[in-house]
Amino acid sequence: MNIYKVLKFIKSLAYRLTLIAFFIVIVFPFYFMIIISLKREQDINIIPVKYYPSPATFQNYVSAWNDSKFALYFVNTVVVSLLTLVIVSVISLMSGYALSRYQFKGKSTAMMLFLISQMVPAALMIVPLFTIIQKLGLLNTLFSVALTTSANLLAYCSILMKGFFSNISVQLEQAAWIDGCSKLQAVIYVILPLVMPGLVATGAYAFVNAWNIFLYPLILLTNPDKFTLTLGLKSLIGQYTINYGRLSAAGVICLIPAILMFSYIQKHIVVGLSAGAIKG
Amino acid sequence: MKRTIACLVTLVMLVTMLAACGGTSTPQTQPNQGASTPEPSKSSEPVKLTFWANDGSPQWMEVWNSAVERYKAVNPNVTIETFGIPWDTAVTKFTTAAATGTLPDMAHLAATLTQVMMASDTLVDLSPLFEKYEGKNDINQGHLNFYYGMNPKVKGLWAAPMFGSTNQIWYRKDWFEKEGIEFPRTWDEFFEVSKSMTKDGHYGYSFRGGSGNWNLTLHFLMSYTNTSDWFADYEETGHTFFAKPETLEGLTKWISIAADGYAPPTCVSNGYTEMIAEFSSGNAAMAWHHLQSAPLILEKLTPDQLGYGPMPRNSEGVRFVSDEPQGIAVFNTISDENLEAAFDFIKFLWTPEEQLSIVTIAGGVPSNLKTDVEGNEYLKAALNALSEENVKASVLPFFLKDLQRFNEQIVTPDIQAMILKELKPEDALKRWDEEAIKMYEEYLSE
Repeated sequence: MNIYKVLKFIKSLAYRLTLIAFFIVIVFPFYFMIIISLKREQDINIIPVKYYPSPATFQNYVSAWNDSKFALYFVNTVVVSLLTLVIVSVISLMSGYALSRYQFKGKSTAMMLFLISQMVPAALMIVPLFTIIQKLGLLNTLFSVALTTSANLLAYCSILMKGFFSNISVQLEQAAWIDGCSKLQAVIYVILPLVMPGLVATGAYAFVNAWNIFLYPLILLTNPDKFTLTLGLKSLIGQYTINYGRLSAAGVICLIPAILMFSYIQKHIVVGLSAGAIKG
Repeated sequence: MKRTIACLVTLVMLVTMLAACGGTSTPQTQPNQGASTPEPSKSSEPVKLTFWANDGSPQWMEVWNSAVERYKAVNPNVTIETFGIPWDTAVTKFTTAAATGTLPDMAHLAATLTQVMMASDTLVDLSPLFEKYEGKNDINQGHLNFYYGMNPKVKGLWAAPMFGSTNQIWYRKDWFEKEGIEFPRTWDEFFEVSKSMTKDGHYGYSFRGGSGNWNLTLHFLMSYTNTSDWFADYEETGHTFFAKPETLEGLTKWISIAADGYAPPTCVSNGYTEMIAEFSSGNAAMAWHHLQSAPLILEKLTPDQLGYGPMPRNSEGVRFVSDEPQGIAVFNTISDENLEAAFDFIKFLWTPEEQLSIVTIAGGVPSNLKTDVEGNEYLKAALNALSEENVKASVLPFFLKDLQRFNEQIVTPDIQAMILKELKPEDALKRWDEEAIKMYEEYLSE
C-alpha cells in the first residue's frame, strides 16, 4: 500500500467520521424524543437515564391522539397547510411569472417592498392582521390562519418563483406562440412542466411553514376545536406541569407527515432550488 | 380518465377543507364529579360567558372544565366557554386581545399577568361586588391585600384570589436523617446546610440560575434584609434597599451557593423545570419553590424521601413568605348582566369544595380559609407556617410598570453573570438600585 492510498484512506475516514458525528448530533434529539414517547411516565425522569424504553408502551400516543385531541388538531393542521399550499402556489406562480416576464411601472419598487416585508417581524403585524380578519368576519376559522400564513409567505415565494421562471428561456414560449398557442396555453403546456420542480419546492416551503406556524393560530383562534398541532403541542406545556411522555408522542405525530412529505419531494426541492439559484 | 380522477380528488379535497373550516365547535365536557350545590343564579335568562385560562395545560383545563360543568349543573341558564392559552404566550394573547377589543369576560391570571392587564386599564375593580359577598370574611386577607396593593394609587380588587402560591423548602428527608442534619430554620443555617449536604455525588441546593431566577433571588434579598418595601428609605437616602450593605452581604452569600459548587453545575441555566428535576431526581438535597411544584415533586419522591419545611427566618427572627395569589380577573369589556353572572361563578369557585378541587390539582394554599385541607400534609404545613408569629408577606412592587423588564432583562442576566463570576454582586446591586429608582420615579411622576 503506497502513501497515496494511505492518505486517501485517512481522508475518506475523516469525511465519514465527520459525517457520522453530524448525523449523531442531528438524529440524537429525535431518537431521544421517540424513546421518551415510548416510556412510562414514571420511567422518564429516572437517573441514570435509560436510552431505550423498558418496558415500552404506546399509551402516550393513545393519550395524545384521543385525550389531548391531537386527531382533531392533525386534521386542522392538514387543512390549514393544504389551503396555504394551494393559495401560495397559485398566486406565486402567477406573480412570479409576471415579475419574470413583464416590464411594468413600479416593478423594482414592488420587488423592494417584497424584500422589505420579509424584514418586518411577524409580531408587529399581529394587531393589524387581527383587525383585518375580524372585519372580514373570519375570526376563529382555519381559513383565517391559512390566509394570514399565505400573505406572510407570498412575497418570498413570488421572488422564489420569479427565479425559476427566469431560468426558462423566453424563446420556448415564443416558439409555442408561433405554433398557435395563446399566452395562457404556452404557460400551461410549455412553461408549467418545466417550472414544476420550482413549483414543488415553493409549495413544499409553503406547506412546511404552514405546518409549523404558531403565532397566527394563537392570535386568531379562540376555539380549542380549531387548534392546530403547534398550538396543541404548546398547550401540553404548563407553567409548572409537563407530561413529557405525551408531549414527545405528540411531537412525533407532528413530525411524521412533514418527514414523509420531505422524503417524497426532496429531489424536486433540490432540483428546484438549485435551478432558481443562478438567475434572479 | 386521469383528468377526471384528478378533478374528483381536487373536488373532494376542497369540500373536505371547506367542511372543516366551517365546522361548529363542540365544547369538551368533563364528567360531573359532584360537589357543592350553591344557590342557583337569580336570573333564568340565558347567559353566555367567555373564560380564558392563562395556563392551558391539560391539568389546568381539567380544573376549569370540571368546575364549569358542576356550575352548569346548578345554573343551567349559564354557559361558560373555556379557552386555554399556552402559558408562555399568554401575554401576547391577552395584550393583542386588549388592543383589538376582543378580551373575554373573565380569565384565570397569574400575578404578573394581572399586573400587566391592570396596567393596561382593562380590569374591573371587583371590590364593590366583593363587599356585598356574604362569605367575604372567609377569604384570605393576605391574598386580598396583594391585589389591593397592586396599584397603591388606585386601590381595587383587580382579581378574585383563588389560591396562593405559597413558598416553602422541599428537602430530602431521608438524606437529612442519614446525616443527622436538622432542617434549616434560619438563612444562616440554610447556607451551612447547603454546604454540608454537598457530598456523595449530590448537591446541597437546587439553585435556579436560569429563567425566573429573579423571583427567588429578590424574595430572598427582601427576607434576608428584613425589607417589605424596596423604597422605604428612598425619601431619606434617594436609594432603594439594593443599596444597603446587608443586601450586598445577602446577595454574596446567595450567589456563593451556585458559584462555589454547592448547587448543580448546570444551575446557571436551570429554570423551574430543571430546578425541580435536579431535586426530584436525586441531584440536590433542597429546593425552594411554591406549592404549585407539589404535583411534579410528589410524583417522583415517596413520603419517606420527601420533607417540606417553612421558609427560613432572617436574623431578626422574621419569616418572609411569598404567597402571591392567582385569581380570576374580570375584564371591563363585560356587560353588566354578564358581570353579575361572572361574579356568581367566582363565588362558586370560592366554595370550600371547589377550592379543594383547585388546590388538589394545581397546588397552592386555598384562598377560602374554610377549605378543609385535612389529609393534605404539605398544604397543612404551609398554612401552619403562614399562621405562626413573626411572618411577613414578601410582595414585589407590582405597581412598577417596568418590573417585568427589570426582572427579566436586568436581574436575570446579572444573576447568571454573577454565578459565572463575570460580575461582582456590588456592581449588580448598583445597577439594580439605579434601575429601580428610575422605575419608581416614573411611577411617582404619573
